[in-house]
Amino acid sequence: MFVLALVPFIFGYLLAVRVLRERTIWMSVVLSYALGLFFYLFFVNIFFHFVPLRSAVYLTMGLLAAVSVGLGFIKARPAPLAFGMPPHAIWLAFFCATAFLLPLLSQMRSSDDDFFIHAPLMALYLKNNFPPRNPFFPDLPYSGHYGRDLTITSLSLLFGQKFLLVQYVLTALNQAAIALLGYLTAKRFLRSSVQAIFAMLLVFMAVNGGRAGLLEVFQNNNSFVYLLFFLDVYLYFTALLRRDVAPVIIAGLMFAVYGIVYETHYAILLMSVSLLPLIMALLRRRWRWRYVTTTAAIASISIVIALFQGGTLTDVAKRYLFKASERVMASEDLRGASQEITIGFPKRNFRITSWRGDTYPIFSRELIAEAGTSFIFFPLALALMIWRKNYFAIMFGLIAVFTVLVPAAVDFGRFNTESLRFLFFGGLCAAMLLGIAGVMTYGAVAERQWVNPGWLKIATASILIALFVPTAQKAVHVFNDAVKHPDNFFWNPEQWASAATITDTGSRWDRLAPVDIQATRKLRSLTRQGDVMLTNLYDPVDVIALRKVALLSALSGSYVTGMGVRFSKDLSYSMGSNFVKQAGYRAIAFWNTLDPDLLRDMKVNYLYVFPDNLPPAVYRKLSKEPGLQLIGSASDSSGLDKREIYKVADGPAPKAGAVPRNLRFYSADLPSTLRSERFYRIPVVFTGADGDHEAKTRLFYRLVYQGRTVNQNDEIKQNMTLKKLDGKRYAGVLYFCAPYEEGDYDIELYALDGKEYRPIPDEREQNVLFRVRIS
Amino acid sequence: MTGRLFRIAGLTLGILLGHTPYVSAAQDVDLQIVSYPEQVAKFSDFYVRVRLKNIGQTPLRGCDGSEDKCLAMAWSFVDRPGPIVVPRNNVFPIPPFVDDFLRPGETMETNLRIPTGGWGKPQAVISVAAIVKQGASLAFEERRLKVNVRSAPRDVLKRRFVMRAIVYGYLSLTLLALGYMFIVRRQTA
Repeated sequence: MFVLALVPFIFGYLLAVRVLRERTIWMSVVLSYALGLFFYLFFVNIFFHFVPLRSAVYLTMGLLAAVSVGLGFIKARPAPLAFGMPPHAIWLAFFCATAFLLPLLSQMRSSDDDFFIHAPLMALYLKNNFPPRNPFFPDLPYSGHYGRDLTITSLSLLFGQKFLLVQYVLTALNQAAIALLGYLTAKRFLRSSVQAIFAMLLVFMAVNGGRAGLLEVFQNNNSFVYLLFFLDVYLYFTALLRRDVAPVIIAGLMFAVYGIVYETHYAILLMSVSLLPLIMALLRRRWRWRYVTTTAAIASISIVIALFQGGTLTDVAKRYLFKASERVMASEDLRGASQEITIGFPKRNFRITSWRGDTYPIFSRELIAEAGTSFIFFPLALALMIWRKNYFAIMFGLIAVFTVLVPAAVDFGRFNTESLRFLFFGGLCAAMLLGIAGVMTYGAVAERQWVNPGWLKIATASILIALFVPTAQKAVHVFNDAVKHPDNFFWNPEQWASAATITDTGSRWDRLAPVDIQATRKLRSLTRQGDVMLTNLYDPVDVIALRKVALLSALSGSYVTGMGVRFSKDLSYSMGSNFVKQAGYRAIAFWNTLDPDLLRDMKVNYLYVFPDNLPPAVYRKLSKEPGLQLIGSASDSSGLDKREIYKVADGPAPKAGAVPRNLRFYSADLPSTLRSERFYRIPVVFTGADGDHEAKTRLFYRLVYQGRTVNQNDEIKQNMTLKKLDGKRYAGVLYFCAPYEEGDYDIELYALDGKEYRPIPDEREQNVLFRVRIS
Repeated sequence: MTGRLFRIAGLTLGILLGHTPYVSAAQDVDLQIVSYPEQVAKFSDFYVRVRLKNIGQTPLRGCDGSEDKCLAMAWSFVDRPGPIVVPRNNVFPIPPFVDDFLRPGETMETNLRIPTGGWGKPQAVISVAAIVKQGASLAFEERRLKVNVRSAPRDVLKRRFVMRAIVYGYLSLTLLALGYMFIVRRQTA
């Protein structure tokens, strides 16, 4: 089946040669790859909304093959391609080889930066879980960009579903393709090979902000993001210069794909290209309608598609344009898990929010620290490009400007801390501009002989070395590590997943054990679309807290529920996944009670049990629980390390009993001390209309901190048996899990009455029943 | 931020960093080694099965950020005679979210997964310890075991060779390219 993977690239080649009329072999090769990859994604994404992933892949391949045949017949055969080597071919080859090898080695050592979210999402796509939902909070949609993950996953169907291996290779190829496409595009539109190669060198090695350069920024979506960026830049300028409709349509479609690959960069690119015709008109003092109409056509095609194709932009459009009344579905705390973006304009104080959560002005050292040192000379470089009327470079300047203005002016709510995404993009464009400006300046100084040529070369080399040192250090570190500790590098992702890693800081983090590979293989063959697992894995050493759980999800193809969401009392959030708690309230309640009703409420299909992680008494009870069926186990060769997989019986959904009429809260017998994250069984007493000696009701408690709900989406819904005490009083036991943070919390109770939960008031008809102090 | 997680790691694990000659013997827990392999390979993992019995009067739980009495496991290679040193990463936690994990009189078994890494000597002495922590005080119950370390498995050796070959191949080609540019080209120019 892997031969089918060639179809998109043949399609890309025909598009490049017969439609875009490329004449050189190297540009044609790199365009075949980039166009093939992103057209493939475009169609797979559309089809996957309607059919299973495998069908979407075959439909896409069929469509691309049919169009390729059509192109082959309809379009006239072009003149033979020029096979000559580009200028600076050896440097370029070295550049591309390094750009390929570094990410390949790095991924073999540690699969990905944000492995914890991308790998589970990819595994879940293989089970047709689409549109994406959060792998750890399956009740919540996951509205982020998913283009990269979908491309890798769908292509992995042609390679035995080995999606991590496909990721390693595609990422490495993408990085090499970025170097080549960036260079060839810049060379064409700058008409200078030296400017082009130095511009790309600075992009890869001298951003020197939050990240050192593109050479080290290949993780997660980045290799796809920047390959598509350079492809879009190439297509945009090609569309501007050619009097032809085809490049406009191709550019429109490829811009649209950017909406599911990286929505932030797509928005910035759209703003920049929208402004460019105006700037061109101002500088040329001549209005060209073709530039405006071409740009408008590309933007319109892409926006229309982006609003419907899925991903963040579709989600935002739905909420802001079509369902304004339901603009925000989740609380500010939960939005970290649902990736539900809010947009406000203008942002208060016009300041950029750092990844830590603090803010700073746009003219500040912090901007240089986060965006990169290229921003120091950026105004000068941009002024030079405006003076030289270098429109290609001016566009990169516009992008850099917008990447600073947007996070300062637009309020993204809790996602303000993601400004680093914008700033690295800006730093990269500023570095590109600096490379072009630097070569121009060098040329001017050398031509006018203002400085001794020898000294000029020494000064230039010194500046470049100083700029390249941070990235070079990181690259050398990877190569050095591969030589010194080659045993830490794995080609086989399953071997990697069951080994330990020594990180750069010298600390070790264990992934899963070999026995988990066996167990998850069994589970993977059982899981179906939408299946959810709960595990008693615990790993406090893991700062991100999700690596092992993510591996379980990625290897089993199921959602892993039971995580908690940290509650931020002061509504301050930092970048990343620090909002996640390894054990949520419902999971804690289950592992303390083994009440299968809690599992059904969490929609759990499978329990993945580490027997040694359970108290002996609880383990004995678990193995006898009638609602759970042991369907698989695995142990290592010594028989010491074991895992067990239980299927949760497909019983009926928990039903509510008849709530005694006029049920009112009467009292709760709280322990003298309540500690955070601990589980308690709290005796509670209600009053109600005189009835049976025993009643059952389904209820949950809500934790409220200063008017905000703390346990939204993680309420412990239990079936409580109410035993009649005397007269109208009923006693029951409330499962109570104390919140994660210390403080005073109000408690409200809700009982299921018919089909919906209604508050249980106290005898004074108040909904807030009592207050707990957590220490 | 990660404060709470760091507190958990810090309080339960970080405190174990460094020498621990002043730590008293644990009165609440009895530790026995159940089984372990006598021969282990370099660059691989092996398991030591241990049995723990709560011989105290109060239940023991997994360690979290609280001051309550709690239990964790740890291991360390003993490089030279002297007091035990437990690196931060070598602590095995017991899940704290299940109450009263080990009640008085109860026994539990668990595994410690120990990577041999590039241990260079033919034998290794490994210290395994149960740690009982209450407030700021720590108590250790330690056992030692000896394993023979043999050479790495064939697949690991092959992987090590391939990785080095890739890097050296890349470096050689780079040097050749640079040599071509700076020497051959310059001479022919």
